[in-house]
Amino acid sequence: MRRLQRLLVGLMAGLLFTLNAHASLVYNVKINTSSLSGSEGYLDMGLIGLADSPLAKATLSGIQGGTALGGDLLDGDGTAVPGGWQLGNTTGFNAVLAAWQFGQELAFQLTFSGDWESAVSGSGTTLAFKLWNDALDATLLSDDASGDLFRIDLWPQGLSTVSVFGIDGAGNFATVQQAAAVPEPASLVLLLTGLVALALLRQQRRQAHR
Amino acid sequence: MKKSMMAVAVGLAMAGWALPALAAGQVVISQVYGGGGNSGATLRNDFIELFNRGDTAVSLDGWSVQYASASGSSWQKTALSGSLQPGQYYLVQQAVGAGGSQNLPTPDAIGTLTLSATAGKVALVGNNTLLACGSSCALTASVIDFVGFGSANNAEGASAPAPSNTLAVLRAGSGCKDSNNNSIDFSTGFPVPRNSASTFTVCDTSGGGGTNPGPQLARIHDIQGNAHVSPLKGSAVSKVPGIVTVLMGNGFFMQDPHPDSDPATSEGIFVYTAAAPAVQVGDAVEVSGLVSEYRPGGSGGAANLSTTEITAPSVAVISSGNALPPAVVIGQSGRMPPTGTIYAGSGDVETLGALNVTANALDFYESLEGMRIEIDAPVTVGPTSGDELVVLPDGGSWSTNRTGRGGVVIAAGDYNPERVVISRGTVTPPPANVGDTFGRIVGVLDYASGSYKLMATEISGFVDQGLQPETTRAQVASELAVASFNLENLAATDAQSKFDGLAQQIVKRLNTPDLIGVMEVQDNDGAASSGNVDASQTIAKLVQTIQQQGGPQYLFVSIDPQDGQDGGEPGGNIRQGFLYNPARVSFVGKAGGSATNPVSVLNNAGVPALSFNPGRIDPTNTVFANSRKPLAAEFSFNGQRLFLIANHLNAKSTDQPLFGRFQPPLLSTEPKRIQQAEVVAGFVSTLLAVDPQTKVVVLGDMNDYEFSATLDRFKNVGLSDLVETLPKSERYTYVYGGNSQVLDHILVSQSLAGKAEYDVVHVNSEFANQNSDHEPEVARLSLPLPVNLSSGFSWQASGLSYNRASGLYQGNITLTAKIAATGPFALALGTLPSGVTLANATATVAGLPAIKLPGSLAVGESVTVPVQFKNPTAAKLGYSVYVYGGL
Repeated sequence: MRRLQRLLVGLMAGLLFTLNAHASLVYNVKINTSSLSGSEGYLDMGLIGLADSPLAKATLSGIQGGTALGGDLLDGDGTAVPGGWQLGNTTGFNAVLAAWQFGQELAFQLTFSGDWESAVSGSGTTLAFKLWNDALDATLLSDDASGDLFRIDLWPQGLSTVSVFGIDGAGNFATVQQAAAVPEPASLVLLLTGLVALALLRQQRRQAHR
Repeated sequence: MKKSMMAVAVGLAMAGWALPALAAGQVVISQVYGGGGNSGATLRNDFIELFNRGDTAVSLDGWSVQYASASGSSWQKTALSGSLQPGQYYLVQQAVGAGGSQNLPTPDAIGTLTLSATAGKVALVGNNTLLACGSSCALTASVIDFVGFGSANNAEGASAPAPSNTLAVLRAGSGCKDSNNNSIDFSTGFPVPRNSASTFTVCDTSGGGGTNPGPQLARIHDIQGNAHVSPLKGSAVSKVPGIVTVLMGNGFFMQDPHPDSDPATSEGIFVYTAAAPAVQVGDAVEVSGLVSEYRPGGSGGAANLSTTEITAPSVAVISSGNALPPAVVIGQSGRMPPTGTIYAGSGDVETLGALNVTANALDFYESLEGMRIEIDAPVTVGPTSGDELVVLPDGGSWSTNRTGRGGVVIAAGDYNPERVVISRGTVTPPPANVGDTFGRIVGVLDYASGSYKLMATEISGFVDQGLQPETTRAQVASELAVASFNLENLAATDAQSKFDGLAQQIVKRLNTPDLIGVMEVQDNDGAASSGNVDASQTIAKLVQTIQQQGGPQYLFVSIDPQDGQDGGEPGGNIRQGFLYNPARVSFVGKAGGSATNPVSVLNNAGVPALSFNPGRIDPTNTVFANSRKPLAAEFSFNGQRLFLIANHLNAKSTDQPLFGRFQPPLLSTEPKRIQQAEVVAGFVSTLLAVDPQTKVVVLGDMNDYEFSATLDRFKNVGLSDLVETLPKSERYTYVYGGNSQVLDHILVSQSLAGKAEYDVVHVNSEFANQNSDHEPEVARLSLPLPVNLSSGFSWQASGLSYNRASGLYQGNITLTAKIAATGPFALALGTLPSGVTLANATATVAGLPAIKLPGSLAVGESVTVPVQFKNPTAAKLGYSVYVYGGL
C-alpha cells in the first residue's frame, strides 16, 4: 500500500539541527531503486537559495548503484567533479540532470559547505533530489508536491533539516543519514545542542517588514 | 333534385315498376358529413341527412343511400325504410370514428359507410341495387338525388364545396333549395344533424327557400366553436341571437343569454359595424352577417391570435332593456384558470384542434372570448400604465410566487397565466400601484397586442394600499457601493421633474452609491435625429441635480456611440456610462478608447489592466450591430483594483407574445443576446486568466432573466449573479404585463462573491408614477483597507525546489506571531523580480500577490505557508514578506 511517508530524519532534535560550524556537513544517502532496476531515467539534484541566502555548496560523490548513461546537463552554478557533481547556490537555478540506468540501490554521499554554516541571518537554501522517468514527465518514488525524493534545507548558523518523501517498492524509506562526525560527541550532548539551537533559531528569525 | 317527379315517374314506369303510392313528394339529400370521429370533430359519426322538400309524403321503403369515393365507381349502400312527411328530415347514421365526443341524434337508419371528410359522392337511389357507374351516376334513372362534393368526378352541375373534419355540406334553405347544381345549392357549415323528430321545415312554393332561407341559423357558441378559429369562418349566418353587452366605436359585443353546456365554446362575440353601432346595451338582437376572424396588429401582428367576429351585419333589435347575461367569474367562485401552463402543445394553435380549457391557459381565455367576465377582489400586480393595469383574482390568494409587496414573480415555466389585464372599456382604470385592491372588476374579454384584455365596464371598490418606495442602507466606509440603473431614455431635453425624481432616488433611496453603472443615457437633444451624439449636457444636468439634492459631485466616464449605431430610441443614441464619487473611488487614469476601438486586457507581470480606460468591448463585432456596446472601466477603491463592465444587451421587444398564436413563443431576440453575453464573458475570462483573483463587476440591463440561457453564459465563467442571493420572491427589477421579473443584474467574480451584500431597491416598477421603468440595484462590496500587521510577525524563508515538468519553484515561508493576532490574514509578497509570479496566490492585497490564511495565532505560534513561483527566466528569486489583517 502506497502512502505518503514523510520522514523528518532526526525525530530527535539533535539530528534535526546540528551545530557544525567548523566542519563540513556530510550525509550518506541510500535509495532502494529495486523497483526501477534496469529501467532508464534521470537523477535530478538542485541547490537553490533566495537572493539573501548565504553562500552554500553541495557536493555529490561516491555514487554507486546503476549505470551513468552520460550527457549530464548542468545548469547555473554546477560543475562535474570526480565521482559526482558540485552545485553552488549563486544563481537562480543550479542543478544537475544525469541520465541513469537504475540498479537495485542508489547510494552516494552529500557534503555541504559554505557561508551558511556561520551566517547569522538570511533565507535558506534547499537541496532537492528527484528521480525522473525516461520521458522526464513524472518523478519516481515520490509523493511530494514538488516531486522530491528528499530535500535538505540549509539554514543560517549551520542548521539543516532533512525531509524524505520517497518510498521504494518494498515499502522501505530511502535513508538520508548524517555521516558520523570525528570526534563524535555523545548522543546526549548532541541532543541538548540541537534543542539549544532550535531555541536560538526562533529568537533570531528576522522580523518581517513593517 | 336533378329532375322533376314526373321524370322520376316516367323513369320508374319505364323500369316496369309500380309507381309508389306517395310519389308526389320531393326527397333530397340535405346534408352530408364525412368528418365524424376524425381529428378535431365533435360528432363521432358520419351521416347523410335526407329531407322532403315537397308537399306530399314519400315512402322510402326499398330505397337506399349509396356512397362512392370522389373518383370511384365502387358503391356501398344503406337500405332505407319508412316514409317522410313534407318538411320532415331523415337521418342516416354512418361509420363511427375514433375521435369526437358526441353521438348523433337518434338516427332513422343506420349504416356503416365510411365517408370521406373532404370529397366523395352520395346518391339517393330509388331501389336497393348498388350503382355501377363512375362519372355519370347523376343521370342514372334510378337515382332520385345526387351530391358530389369536393373533388368528386360527378355531381349535379358542379360539385359542392369541400367540407372537412369539422364542416359538413348543407343544402341551403334548410334543405329547400334545389337548382340541380350542387355548387349552388350546397355550402359548408357546422354539421347540424336533423332526424325525423326534428322541427319540420315547410318549403315555399317556389322551392327556392324555406321558412329558414339563405344563410344558416347559428348561435354564438356554434360560431365560436371549441377551437381558436371559428368552424363557420367565411360562412354566412343569420339571426344569431344575443344581448348587447358593450358598445365600441366600430361595433358591439353581444352574448347569448342561453349558453350551451360546453365551457369550451364562448357565448360572446363582437359584431363589427365599422361605424358606431345603432344599438344600446341591453338590446336583444338578431344578427345576420359573415363569420370572420380578425387578427389585431396589422402586418406586425402575425403572431397574435385572431378574434371571431360577425362582419357586414344586419342587426334586428328584438327588444330593449334586457338584463345582461351574467358574467363568468374567473376565480374561486367561478372558473379557475390554469396557473402555470399557457399552452402545453407546440405549433400554430389555430391548426391544433379543439381547446383544452383545463390544461392550457390560452384555451381557457379563448373559451371566454367576447364574454362578460367578473374578477372578484382583484389585487394589482402590474401598475396602471396607458389606461391598463394587471390584476390577480381573489386577492391573489391562490397564486404562487407572490412578492412581499403584492406582485407576482415569474419562474422558469411559470409566467403566471392567472394574471388578467384590465383595459379601458366604458370605464377607465384609476392610477393603481402594485398591491392596490378593488372590490370587483367586470368587463368583456377582448384580445389585443398579444394579450387577452378585460375591457372594463365596472371598476368598484378601489383601495390604495399605500405602497411605499424602498430605501437601501448607506454603505459604511469599508464598503464600495456599486449600483446599476437604467435611466429610461434620459436626455437633457427631458423635463426637470424627471431629473429631480432620478436624483432624489439616487440620493435618498440609494444613499449615493460610490459607483453607478447607468444605461439609456441619451445625447443632448434626445430623440431628435440631429447627428449629435454628445451627452455632456444630459449628464451635467443629472450631476447638478444630484448635487442639489444633497448628493456628491459625481464624475462621469463613458464613450459616445456612433450616431444611430446602437439601437434604442431612434435619434437618442443611448449609451452606458459610470457615475463615480471621486471622494470615494479613483478612476484609473489612462487614455480612453473610441466608439470603434476595442479594449483589450494587458498582463502586467500577472496584474491585469485595460488597454483603454474606459474602453468598449469588441464594438465592431456584428453581434453588437444596432445594439449597445459593453463598456469596461478600471477603478480603484481602498487600494484595490476593480474592473467594471456596464451592459445593455439586446432587448426582448420582438419576441413572440406569451399569449400568441405560436406556442411556445419564438424568442427571436435571444440568440443575439446570448452571443453578446458570450463576448462579455470571454472578456471576463481574459481578465481572470491573468489573475483568478481579479475583482470584476459585470452589471447592467441584460434584458433577460436570472434563469435564462443569457445569464448562464456569465455564470459559466465563474461570475455570481447577486440577485440569486435574494429569496425568489424578491427577485425582480422590472414589472412587465404584471409579471415581476429580473432584467437588471450585478454579477461579480469569485473574489468578490463572498464580500457582497445585494439589494434591489423598489422605487419605480411597481408604481403608476415612475421615474424609470427599471429598478436600481445596489451591491455593497466589503473591501476594507487592509491593515499592515507585518511588525507583529517574524518570518523565515526556505530555498526552493524546482520541478522541471510543472515549471514551478516551491519553497515555504514560516511565519511566527510576536503578538496575538486575529485572522484571517494574508501573506503578501513584495519586490518579486520582474517576470516572477506567485503561482499559488489566492488574493491581491494592497496591490500585492497574497495567500489567504484562515485562523488566528497566539504569541509564539507559527504557521508554515507553501509558496510556489513561476520564474520563466530563472531569475535569482527574492522577495519581501508582509502580513495583512482586517480582510
